[in-house]
Amino acid sequence: MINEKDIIPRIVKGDIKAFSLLVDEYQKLIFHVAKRMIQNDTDVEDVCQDVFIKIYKNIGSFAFKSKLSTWIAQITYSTSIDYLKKNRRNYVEFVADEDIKYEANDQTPLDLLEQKDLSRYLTQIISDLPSPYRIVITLFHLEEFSIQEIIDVTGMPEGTIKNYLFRARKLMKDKIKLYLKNDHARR
Amino acid sequence: MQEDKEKLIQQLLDSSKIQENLSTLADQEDITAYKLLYSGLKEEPEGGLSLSFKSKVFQQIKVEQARANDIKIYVIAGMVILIGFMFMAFLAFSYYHLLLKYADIIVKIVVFIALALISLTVFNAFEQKYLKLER
Repeated sequence: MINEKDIIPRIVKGDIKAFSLLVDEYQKLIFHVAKRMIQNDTDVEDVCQDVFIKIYKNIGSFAFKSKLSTWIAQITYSTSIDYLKKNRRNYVEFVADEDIKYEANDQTPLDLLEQKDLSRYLTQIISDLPSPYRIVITLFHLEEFSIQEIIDVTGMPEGTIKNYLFRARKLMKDKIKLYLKNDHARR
Repeated sequence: MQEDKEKLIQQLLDSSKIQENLSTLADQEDITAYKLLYSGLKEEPEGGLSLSFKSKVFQQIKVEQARANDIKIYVIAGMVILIGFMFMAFLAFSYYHLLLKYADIIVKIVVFIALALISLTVFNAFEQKYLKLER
């Protein structure tokens, strides 16, 4: 765990070793957020690179009003959205309940059963979620951000975040339940 | 009604302290599915950044720093040239009769400077394009 108050002034002065420590500390967070938003590995790496360049250029403006991880996640989130908008990938800004079809690919749970791997199935159903759901789920569960921190990162209202969390988890729970049922029937 | 129940289950799982209450709220299939989901959501996505990622970032930072230094140099050079031109304009205005006498030489010098500036700009544009392609 790095000391933010010590490392930031060093980076501002141009200490590359200090920046190297920051890269080590936060590359997982940046990768997780970008990966869940963009999904394609090559594009994810490019976005992560852009994020670190932005951090290096703008770290002097970090005012310690939030955690450094929140600030970094915010940059990653906005960079990923810019990338998706620029490349016209399947980015949706707001997800209404009636918009969710949740059938992004042709694979049925039975097809996926061939993988015999619940973990892979979970990865699949997460990637089928709309991007705002994926980011909220990732920040809350994987990065253990609080609701307030997710508000700071995404700029979404509290009610929307809570609704996305609930909807996403319910959708995924229903899919897993079906998966388990089919798995049981197969055996 | 069902939605409220689901919300309550999720709240209990989020708080993770009072999970014994779960079995009274939902059937076993729901609880198992939710528990699998919650543990699965903590798993990191597959893959990762390449081994050369860090060196690529530092390389890019060096390019950006070089670009920023270049811009500073161009701004300073631009200001020097502008001041130079203003000075020359002042001299030309003050010594108009001499200017007419040496017009040929002055034109040659001006053309030489203009060509040098154009060459420098073209070279810089190509260099920037090449650096972008290398990225």
